[in-house]
Amino acid sequence: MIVLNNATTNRSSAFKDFLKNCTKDSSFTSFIVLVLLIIVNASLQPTFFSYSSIKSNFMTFTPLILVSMAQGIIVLSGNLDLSIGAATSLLTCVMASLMTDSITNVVLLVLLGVVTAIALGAFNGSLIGHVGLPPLISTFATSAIFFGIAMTIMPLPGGYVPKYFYRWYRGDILKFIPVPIFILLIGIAIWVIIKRTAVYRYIYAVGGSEEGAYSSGIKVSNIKLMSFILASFFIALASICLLLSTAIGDPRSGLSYTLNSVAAVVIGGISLKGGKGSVGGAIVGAIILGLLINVIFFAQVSSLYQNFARGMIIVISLSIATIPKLREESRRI
Amino acid sequence: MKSFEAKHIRKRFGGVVALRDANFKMEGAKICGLVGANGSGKTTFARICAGLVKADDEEIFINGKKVGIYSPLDAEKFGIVLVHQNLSLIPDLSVWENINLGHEERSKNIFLDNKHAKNLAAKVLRDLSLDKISLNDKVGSLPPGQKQIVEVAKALSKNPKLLILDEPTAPLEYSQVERLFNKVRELKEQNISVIFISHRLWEITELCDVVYVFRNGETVGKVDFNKQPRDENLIIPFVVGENGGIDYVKKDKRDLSTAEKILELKDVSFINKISDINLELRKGEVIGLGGLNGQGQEELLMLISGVLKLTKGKILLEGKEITLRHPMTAIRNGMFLVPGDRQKDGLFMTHSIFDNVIYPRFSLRKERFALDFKDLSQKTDEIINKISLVPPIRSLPVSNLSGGNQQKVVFGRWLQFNSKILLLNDPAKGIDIQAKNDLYKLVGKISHGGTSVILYASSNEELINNCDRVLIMFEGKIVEEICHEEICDAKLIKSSLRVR
Repeated sequence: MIVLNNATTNRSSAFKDFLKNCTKDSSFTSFIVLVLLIIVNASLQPTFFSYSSIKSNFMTFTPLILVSMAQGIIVLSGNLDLSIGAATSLLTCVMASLMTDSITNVVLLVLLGVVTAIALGAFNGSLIGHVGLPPLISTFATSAIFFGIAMTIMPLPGGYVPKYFYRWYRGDILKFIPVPIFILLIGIAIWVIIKRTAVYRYIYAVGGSEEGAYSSGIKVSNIKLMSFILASFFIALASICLLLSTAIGDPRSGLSYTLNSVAAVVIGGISLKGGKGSVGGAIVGAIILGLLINVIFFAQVSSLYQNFARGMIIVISLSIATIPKLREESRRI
Repeated sequence: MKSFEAKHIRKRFGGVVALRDANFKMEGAKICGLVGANGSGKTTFARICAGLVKADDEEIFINGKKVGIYSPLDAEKFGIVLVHQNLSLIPDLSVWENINLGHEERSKNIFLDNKHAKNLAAKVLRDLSLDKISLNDKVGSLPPGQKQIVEVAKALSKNPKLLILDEPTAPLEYSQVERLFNKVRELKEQNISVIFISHRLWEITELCDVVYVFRNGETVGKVDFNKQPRDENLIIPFVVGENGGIDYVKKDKRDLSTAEKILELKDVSFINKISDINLELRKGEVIGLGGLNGQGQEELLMLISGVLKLTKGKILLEGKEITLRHPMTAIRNGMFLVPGDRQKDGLFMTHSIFDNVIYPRFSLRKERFALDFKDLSQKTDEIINKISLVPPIRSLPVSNLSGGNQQKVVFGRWLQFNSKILLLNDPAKGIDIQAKNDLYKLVGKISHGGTSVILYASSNEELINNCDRVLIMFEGKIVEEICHEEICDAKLIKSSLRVR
């Protein structure tokens, strides 16, 4: 009897510990918000779980998810990128301005897009890591620079994307994986690879405590640079998705991603001070933001109130997401 | 390491000399102690050896060869690893990630070998700790003692040839200390040299083979326990100085035993920083808080001024219990704090002297809705006059003043009110002698006017010159009370180090 008793109490205390650990995790509340939103969404839109609506949802969500992953990596390193939207739209302009029907040309231009993204990231990263500018101001300035370049390349939305290429985005891979989800999976695969490298851990270290990282023999400025360069892979993927879903290059198409990605990252439980949270959280945050817009649309909120409603919901979900942090602070007096 | 020698190390931080002429020599694998009073330069020395701080002037020889150590990576190349006093751990990484941080094993040069990393962490920790530290816990959630053990484990996992331990025992419990000592002795067997920095002389005599003593940034003595007996009394003269400390001019003796009791603390505690402090402060009395740095003196001042909230105990002001929920309560009751970090906590650096002086009035709610600037300007000028501020221009931003004059503003703004108690947290830190004298002249004046003062100073001179009584604090407790007749440099140092 006694043994049995012990076992049950052990099990229940283990369960309690598990619950406690879950609630301590910074992305726990965002998961709850996500589940709630899915329920609300599904009740408003009966076809929510159908193949076609999942596909169309991801067609609009994927760029934001990828951009939020990029922002997530940068924020984890203790920085912030306000040029992310301008960079994304600049990349669509670069690719659309030179595209022709030939497949080699398309492949080359996609590669050019990736290289340009890395160059932009390296520029941002070395300004912050090596010149030592504060990220808020320096990426605000580079955002204007990127936007300016995009405007010179393409003063008005335009360019050319071959029909077969943007049709491909609306199709499937292996007949059942929608292409947007496939691109997202590529992004996640890149992330999984990055996660296994030392750089990823050093990003956490630098974001958590720059001095601690330095005295552990980590080259802090190089890690800051690396975080921007790694993020640029995701920005490149996002710009490809954006290009394909709009089928034109547009210097303004990505501008809203800047602050939306910051919101997504915070909703996903990444601390803006750096070093806390996970890129997975950023994905969840971005999906939450996307679903929010869906809910407002399907709840038939008048377009006059859509902005208001979206803002309110973001404020509420942010407040919920900060509850574990508040609890921690109250313990510290 | 066969030999390690550091010669003529000099380092200044701004106007403060941290190391004047430090010399250190170690032959063979030994456990070498490093002791000294507050501010004698031990930590700076350790940080220079580990490449965290660049010295102004240094010569370091390893195995007889002159080397340059300019970054933590350089130091690691030579096998020098420092166990930090302010821990170098990342709170949001797990224990095993922290232990491997900066020197991860990688397969094919790219990917992390986490299995190897966990095994290494487990192995080092098993060697080191009594209590089980879970590898996957985040370091931020560990108690201070376990954090320190992780820090030591991290250093050991780098396979050091010279391990520098900077006050490793401060957050440890007795059993953990013992375990650490055994490990250090084991290291010596494995031909690894150890520099052990501590305030606790009994630890030094128990563990070390040789001891170097620093005083005011200079190497002043060496005791070799292989030739001399393991006796604290051999070390103390070096720490204190040949003439038994410097003779400072003592404050005049006053009889305050009949004066009215103004403040009383009863069993005051604050989490694990301060425990069961009882204290009585009489009208016009100046009490000094002495002891090593960071033994709870600052926390005590912050408790009395309402910045921190006490977890246990009572504070009685003029016989009546008072609950301090906010610094405002303390200010309204005439208890004023001069914070330790004037730039961060004491002043609004970019605002004018005038602004800084009038801000406290708002928490006293004495002002009407519209401010009478003419009257306030006049009052500010009076204060500027009283504290003999240079330059005496009230519209000047505080950031344009010298450190000493900035401190005078922090201090002076309380002079416009009827103060009962002034709480001074190391007020003379980093200011010049003239400003220091001016400041303490003011302290003397107001204490004769009936204001009581509690003074924490990191230099003994200030305590001797200004206090009627000194309370020595150690690990959050008041361990000794030194009355007026007995206050002297040697006594203060000995009491701080807890030796007879």
